[in-house]
Amino acid sequence: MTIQISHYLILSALLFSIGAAGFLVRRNSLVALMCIELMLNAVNLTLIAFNRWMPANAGGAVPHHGHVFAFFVIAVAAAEAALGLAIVLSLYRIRKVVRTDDANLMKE
Amino acid sequence: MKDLLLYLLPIVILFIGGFTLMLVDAFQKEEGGLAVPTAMLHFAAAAAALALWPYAGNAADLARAQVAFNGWLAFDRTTLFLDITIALGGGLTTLLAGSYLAEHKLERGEFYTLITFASAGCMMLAGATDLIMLFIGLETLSLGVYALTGFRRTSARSQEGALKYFLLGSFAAALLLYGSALLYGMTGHTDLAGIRDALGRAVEMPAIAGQEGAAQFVAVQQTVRDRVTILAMVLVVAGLAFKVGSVPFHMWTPDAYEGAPTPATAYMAVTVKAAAFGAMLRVLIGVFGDTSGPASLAGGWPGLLVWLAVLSMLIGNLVALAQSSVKRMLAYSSIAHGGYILAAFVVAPRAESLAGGGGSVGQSAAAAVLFYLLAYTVSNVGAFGALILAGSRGKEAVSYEDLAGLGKRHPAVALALSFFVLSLAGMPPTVGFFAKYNVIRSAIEAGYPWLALAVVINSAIGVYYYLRVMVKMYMHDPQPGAVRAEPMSSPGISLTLIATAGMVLALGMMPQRFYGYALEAVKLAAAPIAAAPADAPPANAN
Amino acid sequence: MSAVISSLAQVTPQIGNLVSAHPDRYFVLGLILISPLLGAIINGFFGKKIGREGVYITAVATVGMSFLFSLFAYFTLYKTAHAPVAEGAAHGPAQLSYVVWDWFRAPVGAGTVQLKLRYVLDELSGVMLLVVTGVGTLIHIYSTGYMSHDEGYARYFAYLNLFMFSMLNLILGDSMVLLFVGWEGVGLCSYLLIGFWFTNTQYATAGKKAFIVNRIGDVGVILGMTILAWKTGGFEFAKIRDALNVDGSNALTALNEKPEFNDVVAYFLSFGRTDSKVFEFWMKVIPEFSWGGAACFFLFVGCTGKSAQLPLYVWLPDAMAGPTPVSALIHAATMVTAGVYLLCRLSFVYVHFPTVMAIIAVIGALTALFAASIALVQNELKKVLAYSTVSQLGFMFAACGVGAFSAGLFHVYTHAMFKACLFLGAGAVMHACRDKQDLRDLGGLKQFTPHTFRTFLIATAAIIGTPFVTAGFYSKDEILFRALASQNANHAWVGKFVFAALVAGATMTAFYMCRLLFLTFWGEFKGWSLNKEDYPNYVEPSHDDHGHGHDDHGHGHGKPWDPPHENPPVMYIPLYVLAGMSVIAGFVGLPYLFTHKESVWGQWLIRSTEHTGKPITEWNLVMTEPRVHSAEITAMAAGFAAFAIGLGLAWWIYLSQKGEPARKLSSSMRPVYQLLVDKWRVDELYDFIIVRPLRFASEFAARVIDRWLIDGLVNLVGIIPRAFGALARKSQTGVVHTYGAVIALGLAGMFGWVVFLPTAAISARADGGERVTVEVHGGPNYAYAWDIDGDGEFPAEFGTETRQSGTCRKLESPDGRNVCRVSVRVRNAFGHISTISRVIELPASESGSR
Repeated sequence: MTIQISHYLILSALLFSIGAAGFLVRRNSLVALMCIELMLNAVNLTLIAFNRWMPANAGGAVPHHGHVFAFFVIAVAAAEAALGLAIVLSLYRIRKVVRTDDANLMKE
Repeated sequence: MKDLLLYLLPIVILFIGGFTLMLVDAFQKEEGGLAVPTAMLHFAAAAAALALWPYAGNAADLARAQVAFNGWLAFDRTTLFLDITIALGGGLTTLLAGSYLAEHKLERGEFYTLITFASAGCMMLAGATDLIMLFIGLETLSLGVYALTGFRRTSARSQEGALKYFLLGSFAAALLLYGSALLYGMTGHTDLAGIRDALGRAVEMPAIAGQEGAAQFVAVQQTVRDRVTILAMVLVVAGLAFKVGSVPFHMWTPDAYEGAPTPATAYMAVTVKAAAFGAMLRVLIGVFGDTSGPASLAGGWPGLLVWLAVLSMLIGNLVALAQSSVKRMLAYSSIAHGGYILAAFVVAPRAESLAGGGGSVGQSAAAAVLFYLLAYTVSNVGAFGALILAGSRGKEAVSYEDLAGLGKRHPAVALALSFFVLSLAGMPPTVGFFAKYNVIRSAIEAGYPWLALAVVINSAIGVYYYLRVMVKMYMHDPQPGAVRAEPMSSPGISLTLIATAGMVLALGMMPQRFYGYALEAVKLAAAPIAAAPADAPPANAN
Repeated sequence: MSAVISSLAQVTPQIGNLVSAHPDRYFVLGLILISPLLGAIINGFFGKKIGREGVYITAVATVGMSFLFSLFAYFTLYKTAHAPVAEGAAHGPAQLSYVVWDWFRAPVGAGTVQLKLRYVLDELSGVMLLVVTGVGTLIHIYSTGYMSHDEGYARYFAYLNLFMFSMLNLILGDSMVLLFVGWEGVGLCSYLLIGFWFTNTQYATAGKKAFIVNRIGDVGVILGMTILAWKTGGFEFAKIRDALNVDGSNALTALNEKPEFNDVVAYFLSFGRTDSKVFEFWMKVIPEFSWGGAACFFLFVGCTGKSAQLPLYVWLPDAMAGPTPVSALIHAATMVTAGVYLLCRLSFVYVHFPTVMAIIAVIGALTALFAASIALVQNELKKVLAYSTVSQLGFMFAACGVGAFSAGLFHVYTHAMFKACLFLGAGAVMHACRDKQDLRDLGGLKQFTPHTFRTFLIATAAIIGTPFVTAGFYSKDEILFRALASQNANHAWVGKFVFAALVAGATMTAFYMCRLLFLTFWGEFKGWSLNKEDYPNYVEPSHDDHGHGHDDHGHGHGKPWDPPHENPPVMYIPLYVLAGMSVIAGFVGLPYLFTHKESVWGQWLIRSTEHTGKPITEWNLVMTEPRVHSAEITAMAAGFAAFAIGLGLAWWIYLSQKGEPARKLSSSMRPVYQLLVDKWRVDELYDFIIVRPLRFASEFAARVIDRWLIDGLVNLVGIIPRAFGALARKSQTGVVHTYGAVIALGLAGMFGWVVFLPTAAISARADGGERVTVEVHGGPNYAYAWDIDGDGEFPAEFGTETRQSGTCRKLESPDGRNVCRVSVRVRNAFGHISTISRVIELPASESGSR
């Protein structure tokens, strides 16, 4: 069996779904952060797999849009994680909670 | 224009300004005093955008700019119009923030840096013609706004709002990103024009051409591509709909709005919305709404948006009715306003090329979106400004009860708030009326009378809770013993109120002129953001 | 009279020239408008700074200036109207206009319309202008006395000035849009002034009620205005009028179009599924109604709100919670007549729709009757006047409904005079009697407040239509006569019915107004004891308990046994002016019967309100026709009878029974005397035959219909959205996971929508004859099967062509419209199929290919 593009795509789709499901199910905000990271990495996998699969253009070179995109995603994901942890920490300082369902002061 | 880099001026001003602010804040001994410089930066960006306006009308220049920036950013009048709206919203909210932060002991310099960078992000998002740029812009503004939401570090509500906004926002960004990745995979392009063109072509596989079963294989590939494209489009719509706070992606809105310091709330309500709707115009109508190709209206997304629009209006308005906090009411009403704008979206790509009228209907609808954003910006900033002004040290005016008797105590503040609330409610002769009028008119012209009716009915519901504000101010006395929110005195806020009131009135008195600018902005877009009229195709760079 | 006017007009020759040279530059109109606005701004922002005197001077001066400018403008208009024209040339319409600036451009129909911020003074708005600014000035003057003890005087005058500005916008605006701006503005001011003493929740509630009811009406105005503009291609009255005046014009055809409207409603009610059974059901159920009829009807719904007609009249009686001068100005003389003004303004549209006219006439007549019946048993001074206002407005609407717009407007004008006088008189009574306004507490005020009494007497004489000398007689007579003589093209019975109802209403009016008069001014004063000995425990009050909240004017200063006192001249002089007007105002509208020529009033308004030859006024006012002549005599006799019966009955019941006047009367009238002798029998009879059924009927009306049914409906309108809101609000749990789950569900729903419910945008063009071209936009990999001919059969094969031409079979349409239906089956990229269809309007068969 050869590993084809579809395998990568199915893997990344699975990763994305696991991340999304985890985000929706788990109540720990740190885990939620990790799930988001997982989703972003699934996206990266998709992008890179697609870029590998892309046919060369007229000049014979393969454009690297997917790779470039993936790098940006990695950079932004890092920034996002930093900010997310800061917010979680800040909430923890005030209310001593990390569970997301404890953060329900505001509703209705 | 010769030097194409000048097109970047509004964004560059904000970025350089943001870094400078950061440095100044790090080295200055006392906190504070950055509000006016930040506002000036924004106004300078607006002025730069205004100055670029005449140079953005030329198709040849647009094409050159498009090439020079690798198709990542469009320097057309749509971008400039949105830039001006964003810079105006950002500048005015910064003016609000100056006194607010000092009054509530929140004066820390990073507020201004964050808001400046976020504005730059908004402009990037509004001008993005590439999925990568769109993502970077979106995240630049989002990260700034998440931090602004959690700016009241000692307030549990502020942190909670930030956490909710952040988690859900990242989730939605991931959805958008996955959609983008799939689109890239299906078309080989990340630039919107490339995606549009690629979707317009059938799948070709020269390598296997002539082999046995090749035709069948290609057909399967074609089907897969088209199915995935449609699903990817839904993901992208969901990601952007989250940013504009449309139902069912709206639930973060009230919590984030309530938790954030009020100037940041105003900022989120206006600039983020303007940028995200700008991106929506380019993606939905520019890529999937180009009625000439087979990818046109992919999967019937207007039908999808009808639901989002109607649900946003309905749920936003109905829940706003039941609020006791004015800030939350404004949050829900912003959802409803998003719904009105989405209603115009539904109409924009509709090319009645056969029934006559050409794409002018679509263009007027897209212009209605831009005009609505401008109108909403000035009205909403004014309303939040008046709300801030009504609050006092340690006691923000956030609930209806806090406003009781304000008409007696401070007629000027009450009058200003009434004025903005009337504009939001869509009463003539304020600009709010014309904004809604444009939406309703385009809906009727495009043959969606019931959508227009939905807008009218929802506006009527909206009037009820907006006027409750006035009723409280003018017809009720504060409960005995209640802590009265005493209006603070602030030249910055007063100036903002006067400026916004002036604009609300000016736009209401001369709506045609400003609507004309919006229409121009739509017509001179780098990629079509409305169905083009049959007789006069818009300048198209690629 | 005309000599006086023309000599006054001599003053303005230059202006006259200016007008003819620059039709849109008559800046006096701008001055009329701006000066009350200026007053509102000064009083609103600097009221505290300029002090009480400053506020009074500003308020009265700005409105007074506005009145003077109005007079000037009116005489200029008069001069323009009567300027000599070249031999053989037709006399152009008399109008002065002022363009402030270009406002906005609105695409209407195929073209675009540049809407200007333009004010126009013509015959119709001229009359209203004088009434509004004139009465407004008097009431401002009166208010300086009435509000002299109130804390919120600056706010009060700011609102009042703002009201004047809005009202002037309403009447001078040259387009529906501007009228609507004014319409909303007066509503807002009325709302603010009703709730002026907002410390009292009951008053604030009254304000809210007025507000909600008027919102219902506003929806009507918006709908009507939109339809009208859409179908006639303009918002401006002049433009609509010009569009309609061409016989067989496109605008008229467009207004008379019928089923499309039904289509839209049916479309909406069946949630856009035109192929469903539900749609067909609605298409059958919705009665035929043309666009124009719908526009007129919706606008009338707006009028019933603003002008307090059945069934939306409920707010007006409660609105009396506001200060009394406000009731006089807004809720009697000016704002509530805006509905009548609107009907007159658009009379040229209304005359094309006899059924709507019939509805207006019947509603007006029923309101007149209904409100009068309630007024019979009310015991509060202002309540009686409020119901009386509703009833009189009913007269005006009935007049408009039978096509007598000028008569309706005539009554607006006379009613403004005497009803303002009555309300101000009522205010004066309350001012004099420490805010007592219960009729059972009043009495004998004749001696204490002579000025108020005299003016109240004259105004009452006017409203009950005292023959020949009062204005009320002439205006009421004109309405009765025109009702009797009218013939509605579709519903011939309407004229007779309206006549009968109005005569009954007039009788009741005479009765309850006289009852009011007698109980207030005749008899013994019952408000409090006037004997000093009855107050043994009285101590001099300290001056710090200075409560405010009601019509309260600091009467704590007097001794409790002091009798009611007459008011200061600043309050009774306006009363005299209004009373004087209540008498002489009528002489501009002398009936044809007396003078054998068209009255000054009718002549002046002939261009604005008479539209002979249209369905509603087919009877063409031909003065020599004997039938019309006899109708006039009948009407006058009926009016006289109503007056006499009402007055006589009241006199008999409220004065005669009290002794002295009764004995005097009884000696001259034997049979009546006999009845009076057996007092129980009279009481029984009175109670059994008149009072009890009447009381029952009016209480039924007041309690059941008014309080329960209509209030209930009003409340329900508010409750339903709030209930839904509360429900939706509960879903906002505050937990991130719920939010995430909603996002996920929404996303799933969106996926489901694009996968399982294929949609496509469809557009179609008629190519002439039965040829049509249809285009669809679905999405990538979509395929379509076409049913162009409308036989409901689709080919089995799907194709990817997005455009198709073919012959479309005309549908059997009950209204003879040329339509056909095309359908497309859409298969999306996921293989799911749905059907979309669209009804196409075919070109008229004789026009051939386009």
